[in-house]
Formats: sequence, structure tokens, C-alpha cells
Amino acid sequence: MNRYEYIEALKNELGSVSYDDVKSISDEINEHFDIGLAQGKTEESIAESLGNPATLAASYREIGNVRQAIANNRPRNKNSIITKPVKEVKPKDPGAGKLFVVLWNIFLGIPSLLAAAVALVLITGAVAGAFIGWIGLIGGVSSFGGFVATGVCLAIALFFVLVFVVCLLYFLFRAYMFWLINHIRWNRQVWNEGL
Amino acid sequence: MKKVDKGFIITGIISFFLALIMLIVTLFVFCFDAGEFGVKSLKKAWDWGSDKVEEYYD
Repeated sequence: MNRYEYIEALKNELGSVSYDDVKSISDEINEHFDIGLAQGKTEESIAESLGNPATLAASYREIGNVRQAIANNRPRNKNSIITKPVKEVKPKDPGAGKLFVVLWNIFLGIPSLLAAAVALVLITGAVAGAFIGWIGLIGGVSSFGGFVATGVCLAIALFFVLVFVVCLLYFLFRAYMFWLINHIRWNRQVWNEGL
Repeated sequence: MKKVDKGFIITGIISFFLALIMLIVTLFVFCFDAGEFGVKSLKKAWDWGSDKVEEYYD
């Protein structure tokens, strides 16, 4: 089985796994092939060393980690382990994260959240004002002279416009709360784990 | 999706279309009222002019 056949077989076996995961898995497998080829191995022997694509896919679905699944899937009795350089993971700096959170919130985070909150309050005020104006229109429609019918139709139309705007406002509030909560979560993560 | 969200989406869509329809209806009604108002004004002006002509010949 060559590289292409192996990856295609693996993709078929992965089935319902998301597109992003399938892509990351095939990238990982391609990297294994590249390293193996650089070490003078053939595509067939690399494919053999990776093990059966079906069991590799099953192992991935169970574990959720490609490297671990590959390690588990390697045939035990063969001396065909491909040595892959382990990437050095730099430890995160929590001090920098805290500084970043403080500076971010002073210059961008809190000002933008406050600006959005003020805008929301102003829009809500405008809607409330429009509602009061609408009540005024209802009260004054009898004094429209020959345009009473127009006034009544306009009042009904404006009522629906107001209902529509209130619905929009609800989703604006929801979006704001979503933004706020995610911002706090992200700040907490950066604060604790660093940059 | 929450039930409340669904409710707001449906209400929003329905009210949007109803508002659109009612604004178009308002425009038509306004045109009708304005036309009636115009005809009445024209009739008044015609009567006023006729009186003036009658006054002149009398």
C-alpha cells in the first residue's frame, strides 16, 4: 500500500470524523511518510509500520489523539518504528499573560465593552421613546382631519415596526452577553495559563 | 436553539413582513386621502371662482 492508498483508506475508515480532524490526521500521516522517506524507507514499509488503517481510525475515534493512536497502532513485532522528532513545547509565561490581560482591558477590552453597553442602552431608550411617540400618535389620530385612515394605517405599521425592533434588540442583548461571557473566559484563560 | 429565541425569530420575521405590508397599505391610503382632499379643495376653489364670476356679472 502506497502513501495515497493508505491515506485514502484511512479517510474512508474515519467516516463521521469532522473535516478539520480528518485534515489534521492526514497531515500527520503525511509527515510520517515524509520522515520515513527521508530515512530511506519505502512508502510500503512506512504504511506497514503505521499499521492497519481501519484499526488506526478506530483507535483515533476512541482516543481522540492522532499521535497516540499511531503509537498504539504500530505492529509490536516489527522493528519499523519511525523516529519522529518531538517538538519542544515552550512553557507558557503566566506573568506575561497577566500583563497582557491588564493592558488589553485598559486600552481595548473594557472601553469596547462599555461603548457597546452604552450603545445598547441608547438604542433601548430610543425604542422606548418611539413607543411613547406611538401612543401619542394613537391619541392624536382623530385630529388628522381628512387623513384619519392614513393615521390609523400608519399607527398599525409603526406597531409592527416596534415589535420587529424589540425582537432585534433582544438578539443584540444576547450577542452582547455572549461576547461579554466569552471575553471573561478568554481573559481568565490567558491570566491563568499565560501567553 | 432556545424556545425563547425561536419565538423571537418567528415574531420578528412575521412583524417585519406585516410592517412592510402595512407601510405599503399606508402609502396607498395616504394617496387616496390626499386625492380626496385635493378633489375637495379643487371643488371649493371652483365654487369660489363660480361665485366670483356670478358676482361680476350681477
